[in-house]
Amino acid sequence: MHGIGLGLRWDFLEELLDRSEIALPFVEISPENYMRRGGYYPAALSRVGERFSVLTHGLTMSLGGTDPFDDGYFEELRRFLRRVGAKGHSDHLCWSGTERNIVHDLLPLPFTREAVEHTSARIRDAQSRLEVPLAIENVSYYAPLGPPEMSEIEFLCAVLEESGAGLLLDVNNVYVNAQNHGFDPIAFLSRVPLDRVVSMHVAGHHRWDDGLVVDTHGADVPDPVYELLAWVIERTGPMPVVLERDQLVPPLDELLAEVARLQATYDSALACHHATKAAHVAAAEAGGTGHAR
Amino acid sequence: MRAEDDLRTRQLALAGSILHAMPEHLAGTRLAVYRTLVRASLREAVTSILPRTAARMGDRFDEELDAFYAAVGPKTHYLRDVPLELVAWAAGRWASDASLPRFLVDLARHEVAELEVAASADDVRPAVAELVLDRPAVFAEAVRLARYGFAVHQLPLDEDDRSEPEARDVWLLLYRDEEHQLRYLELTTAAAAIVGRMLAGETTEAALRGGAADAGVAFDDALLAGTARLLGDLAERGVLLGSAA
Repeated sequence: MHGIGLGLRWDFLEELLDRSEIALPFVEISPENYMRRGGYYPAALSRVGERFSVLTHGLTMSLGGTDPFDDGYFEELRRFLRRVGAKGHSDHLCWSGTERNIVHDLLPLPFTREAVEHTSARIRDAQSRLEVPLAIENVSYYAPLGPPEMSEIEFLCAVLEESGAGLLLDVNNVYVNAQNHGFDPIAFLSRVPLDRVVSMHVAGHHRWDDGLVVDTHGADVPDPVYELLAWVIERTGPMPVVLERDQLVPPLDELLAEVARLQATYDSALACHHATKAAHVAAAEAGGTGHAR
Repeated sequence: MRAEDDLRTRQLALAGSILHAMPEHLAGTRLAVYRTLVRASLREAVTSILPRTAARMGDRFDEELDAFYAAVGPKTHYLRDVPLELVAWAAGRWASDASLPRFLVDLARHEVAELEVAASADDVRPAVAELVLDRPAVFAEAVRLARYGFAVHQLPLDEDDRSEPEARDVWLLLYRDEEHQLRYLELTTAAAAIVGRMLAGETTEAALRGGAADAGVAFDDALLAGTARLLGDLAERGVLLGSAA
């Protein structure tokens, strides 16, 4: 399963199912939108499963949280992943609530050694509760939660190393954070262990009047995010990439046109990846010493 | 302080600054952005389920959201269930507030009941046999019996509408049809008393006798004939499946 897929949203689900000519390599769904629901929702999910391969991406695991995991949630999630035949699952490197309240957003973790250890242990615990590999997604953040002891990339790498989880690399989040915190997104990506990347997200964002860039998923994917997508695919090779759109969702045809533009970038980057790989094979066969990117 | 305690303290402080008053030391910082973002998404989730309640309350609705966040806040793992938590918390408060329309709580309860019935999970149902008097009845999933003091189910769906519902006792049976569409059926007091007892798991005979007593009507041939027609109608609608096997 690779290429550009679409994050499935209620706004266009019915049209997507009704139009048999639409071909996508996969769609991504959030289990929380279907878990503990009857009627239309499981029926729609069955129809989705008949038409498309499905990736699952969760919203509320709160991997960096300090409240105990909800056993009922994991039981439901396991059942759901089994039902859709998921080969893996992902959620966010963040927290979303405390024992008092769940605030339903992706809240930032402090970039500290203690947070690395705490979150990695939680991810390992979450992994042990699932029957498929768990990947974590790097999130957009607008401020760290407390004085940082390390950079975001150091924090991410440490958590990946200590948790053993795969990485869902959201290059829009990398771009948003680079804009807000003043770093070079390519320098960031150069330090990501790309062999741990299992899938990617792309999306658009908005810039507030005060200059803050906010990860709204409410605009077309901008050119710099295309460039980051290409940079990664040139180095990783085939990968499922999800276009996310949650706000100001345009008509489906416009979204599909964006998918096609992203697919063209993806194909071009993939061709570059294959050409580089072939060149290295040829160089190796000729006794050369070409070095891989 | 243990590391985890420190993390917990920081998380509680940020969650508190989002849901409660913003502490001075966080105001104006980038962490304050989360207050804006979270409250916007919660408001969107709540108003998508309670559009007419929110529209009729106007600015007061946001004040009530603030009060809800400060008093209890969302506790559910499912964003879509936050409106249910809000209405459960606010119903008594709104009912005793003379500045709000008397029918407002019923309207809010009706809007969340529609959500509950449309989306409630498919329960595992017992085996079903033909309906008999001496066993509990089996109903389809997602059936609710609601009681209102106003005919809020007859209000227009238009959020700008400000007409007032008729004040009268209303028993409404809400259910999903085969196409997963929300439907409702208005019941008489006696029918509601009987169906309510059946939904609670009484045998059909006990529900008939108890329901008649509740409604203050005679347990006679007319009641039996009327109930038979009602249960037949419910069976045709796919609401009543039979008796537990």
